[in-house]
Amino acid sequence: MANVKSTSTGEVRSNNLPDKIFGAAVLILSILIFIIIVYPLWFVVIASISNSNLVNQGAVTFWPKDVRFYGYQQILDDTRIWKGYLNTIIYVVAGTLLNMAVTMPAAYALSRKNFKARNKVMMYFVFTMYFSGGLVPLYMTISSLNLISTKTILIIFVAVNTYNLIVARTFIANSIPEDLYEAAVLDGCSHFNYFAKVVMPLSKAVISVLILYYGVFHWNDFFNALMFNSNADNAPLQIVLREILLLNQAFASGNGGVQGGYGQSSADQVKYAIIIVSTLPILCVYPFVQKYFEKGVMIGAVKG
Amino acid sequence: MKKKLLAALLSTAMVASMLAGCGNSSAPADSGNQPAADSAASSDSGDAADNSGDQAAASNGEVVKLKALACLHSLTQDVDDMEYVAEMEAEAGVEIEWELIRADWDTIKSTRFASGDIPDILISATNNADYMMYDGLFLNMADYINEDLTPNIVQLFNEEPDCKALVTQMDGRIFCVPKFQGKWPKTNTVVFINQEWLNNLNLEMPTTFSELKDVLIAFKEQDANGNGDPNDEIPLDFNGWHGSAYGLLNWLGALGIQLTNWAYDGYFAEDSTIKNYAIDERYKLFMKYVADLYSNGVINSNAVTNDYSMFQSLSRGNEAGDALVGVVAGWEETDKFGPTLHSQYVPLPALEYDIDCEPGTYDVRWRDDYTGLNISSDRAVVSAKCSNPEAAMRFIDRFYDQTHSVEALFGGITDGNLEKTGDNSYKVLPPQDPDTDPGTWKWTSTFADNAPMYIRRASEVEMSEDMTYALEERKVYDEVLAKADKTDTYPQMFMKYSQEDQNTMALAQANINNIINNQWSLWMTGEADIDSTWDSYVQSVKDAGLDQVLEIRQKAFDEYLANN
Amino acid sequence: MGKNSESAGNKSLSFRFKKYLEHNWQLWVMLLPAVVYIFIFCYIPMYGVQLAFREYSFSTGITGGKWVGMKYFQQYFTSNMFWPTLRNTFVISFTSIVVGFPAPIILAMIINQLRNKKWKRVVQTTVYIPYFISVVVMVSMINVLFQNNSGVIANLLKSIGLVAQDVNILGSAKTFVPLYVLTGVWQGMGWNSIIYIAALSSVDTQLYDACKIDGANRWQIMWHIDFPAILPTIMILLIMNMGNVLSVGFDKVFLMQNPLNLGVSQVISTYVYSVGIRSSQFSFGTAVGLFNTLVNFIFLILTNWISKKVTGTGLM
Repeated sequence: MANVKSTSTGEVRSNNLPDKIFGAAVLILSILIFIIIVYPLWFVVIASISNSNLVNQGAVTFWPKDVRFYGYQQILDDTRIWKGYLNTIIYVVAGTLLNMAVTMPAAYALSRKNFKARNKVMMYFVFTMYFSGGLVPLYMTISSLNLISTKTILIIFVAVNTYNLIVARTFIANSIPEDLYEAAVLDGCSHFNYFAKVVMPLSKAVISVLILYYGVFHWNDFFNALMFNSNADNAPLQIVLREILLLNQAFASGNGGVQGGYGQSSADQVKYAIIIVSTLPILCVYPFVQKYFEKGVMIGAVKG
Repeated sequence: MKKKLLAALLSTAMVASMLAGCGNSSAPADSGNQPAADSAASSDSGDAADNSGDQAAASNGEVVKLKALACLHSLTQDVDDMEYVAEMEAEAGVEIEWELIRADWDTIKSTRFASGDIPDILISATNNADYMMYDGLFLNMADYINEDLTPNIVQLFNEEPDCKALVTQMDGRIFCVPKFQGKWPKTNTVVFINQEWLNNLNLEMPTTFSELKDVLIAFKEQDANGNGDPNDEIPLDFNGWHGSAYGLLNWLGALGIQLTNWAYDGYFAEDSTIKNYAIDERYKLFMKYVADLYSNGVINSNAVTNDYSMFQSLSRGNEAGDALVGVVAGWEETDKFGPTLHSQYVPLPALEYDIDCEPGTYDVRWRDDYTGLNISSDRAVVSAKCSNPEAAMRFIDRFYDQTHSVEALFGGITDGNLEKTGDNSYKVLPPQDPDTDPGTWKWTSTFADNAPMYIRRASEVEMSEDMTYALEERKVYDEVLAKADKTDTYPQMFMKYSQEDQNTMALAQANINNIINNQWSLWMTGEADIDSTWDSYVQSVKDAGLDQVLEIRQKAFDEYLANN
Repeated sequence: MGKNSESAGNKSLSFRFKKYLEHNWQLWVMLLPAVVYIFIFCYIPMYGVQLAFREYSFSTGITGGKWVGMKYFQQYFTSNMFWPTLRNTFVISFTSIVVGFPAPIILAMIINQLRNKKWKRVVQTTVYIPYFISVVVMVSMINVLFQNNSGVIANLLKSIGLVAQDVNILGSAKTFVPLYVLTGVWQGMGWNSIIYIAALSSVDTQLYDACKIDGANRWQIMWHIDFPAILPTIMILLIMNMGNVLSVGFDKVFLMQNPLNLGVSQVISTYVYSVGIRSSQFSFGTAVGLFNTLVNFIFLILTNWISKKVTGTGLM
């Protein structure tokens, strides 16, 4: 070990030719991907502040034209939006906490190789990814629990997502060395203790992924709120935005009576502005999650 | 996560749902089809005294609490803010808690209906298929429509028998009340041509297909809008095809095909026979003409793929304010071309077909949308579980009051949107928000076209400027429109089908549409040759079940003609 | 003798059960909330499936409609739209998997190899943003950017010769699948790479050092250490993807449909929608949905089995 120069993150610097070519190739590829990803995003930004007629005609390409902020004004002038933000934050925070509390222990249990029933239990979960009774029986079940149009249902719905459960299980099974468990058992450690003291701290990366997955699910959830809630006081951000969007499309449509000529040149802005208004907050959260993806978070543990 | 969401969406589309055991198969409310007035009293199990009409209930001071759901336009304000609705509630002696749906009702509807979870009254929230599908969920109104309880609805049914026919099921039951808004024009569509371009190029207004072709080619080859760029003109633009208001099929009338109410799925009547133009030889001729125009480069090559918003944008001109489109269909010129460009455009009268034949070979027609624009069913329904159906019906009837009807469409008098200028005449006031155009204001301030209403033919309504324009522009089609008679007018909404026929048609039509919605575009763009593919195309449409559909439709149309 | 061994057997059985509980009761407790939740919200409503075999009737409920057996399945199988929709659905989803599945893995590997910390972070935070663009806006953007003559991207592709000059990208049966799939990759690549990036972060860095001593170059290290480390995750996700072969999302296809591409863009879900829009066909929809599910499930089980044989990783 001593004769290898190792950086703090464990990466080894080298200067041979193949590595240089490799490094250059990776860099060029990343730049290319970056451009491909960024241009359409930039387009969303300029489309949200340009004259929509020009956008639709393809006249807006790299810079905004006939700049106006009608779209943002329409969204931010709507008082419902703040209530929507608040509701959504409640659903995201409470919902994600519940998700994690249900998913992680279950994922741990299913990751234990000597837990004989695990394949059958897994089947029990996987089956529901494919077979469902449809919306009406689900609605009636929720209705019989008196949860229709409550905040509760929007928090507890999809308390555990099988896909995420499997992701977590796979991670725990594959990246936490079995030796750790054996050592812990020798020390007389119970499953509860081992889960809390060893598995959770070592699973920071997957925990952040799941928080992101679940959090974004709650953030974006439109369909469940639409189906299971009809109380405007509980409406999350996505529902409010949807209504603002439709409202503005109404300005733009001229179908046999809605002669909304005046909104036409700006109405489509709302479409693009909504993406920005609803995405920015999530973007701000990402860097905090991202730091758990850094290499080396596992090092100490593995040595221990 | 995304998958779960998609799966959920998918399941709406597919499963859209199933049933609810809600087991509310309570006593079947339909006591048959005896005249409503007779049966009403007997079917009121409870308070028979309540039968004496609205004044009595109101003066009793007993306010009936009801829940209602209304599907409104996304612009429409809260119903609680509409003064005239509060007045109607007071007159009917009810107090209503409103649930307003402005978006995605189609997604939610089947689940709520199948679960039996509906309020007492639903406004503009149902369609004809629902009554058969959820048999037992809605009240049979036939028992409650009578002179005492619902005098205005009775008046509507007497004066506009089409409206009664529209909502009466084959077995005589009535689940919904319709609207009659009378003042809307006879056709949805006006084709506009840019008069300034004609002037710039010294061209005459075209009257035939071949003249139109020449004009369009001139628009294309020369700098018609005079901005120095001879290539930025789009001579002809359109949006959608079968059943579209702003497609090119308006001109099928030139070949003697009388379309009615947007001619959904291509069906029309000719000498009392139901046909589908999509397999008619005249459609073949028409498609050849369109393909010829397309190959000459005069049709917008993006028209097939543009969505409605892009279609509208193009007609608003470019950055410098130059008009870009020569000929295009629309509802009304200011709506279509915006506040400045609209003055360049004039209506293009119906054209004659003269390709390889003399003008006058075919009897020229124009699409007649009068019933489609003025009459709709499903304005209001009542839940079968409603504890006080009399009160609900009494309230619904208020919408059909002469003045309330005009208020429902254009805005309330006490709200400051309408003025009563005489016993029978009204004036629509300008928008209270000066930044808003009259059309938008109407949708903002009231139920507008979603309302249950009966605008009497005798009522005079002085409408806003844009509506006046809309009526004025259509005068060029009046003469042609007058040619349609009973045997070649086919308003599909009046036809009655059994549930089984309905299902057969739904399945067959999905298969037929998959062919006809695709093929025209291949012909137009030249990807498929019309002559060589026509026969196999017709055969495949027939194989998909067209003959069966025509037979079912013919039967219903015969009955309709016999009854009218 | 026989009696003895029997009682010994019983004893050992109950003993073993006790022992089992002693070892495992905590695991069961940890599973309990998830199991209960799934039971209430997934298994209880499952009685709705029988609608595929029944005629829907509101007054009698899901369980009360007339039993019609395979009627609705037959209606679909014998329809002239059965093969076209099945084929279109398969083509779209297989292409999506073939192109779309490796993309996030490659992206994660690339990001993982970037040495400049700042640039790495910039790339990482940018690539996942497209995921938040709603389908409606996504399709609007496609319509504008790929528009014939005026679309920026369409013109770019034509000028570098990737697409022939006379092709209308939006209105062609040939370009629909590539357009659908590639825009899907654009949107999902970054988001889907997150899980791989997380998995890569758990690679034991001592392994890198060991490899270095053996004189391996970066490509070899990536191939022999990084890749095997995320292989279980890859396999699990592949299995789950294969379990979705017949589930082409409704919204995007529906919005991207136009008359010119209808021949390749009519998929099972849009077809069921077009039947249902005319008269709500609950039973037909449920039957087609069930058929979908069965095919999906078969693919899942097959891939799971193959994966277990080949890589030793499997869902169950």
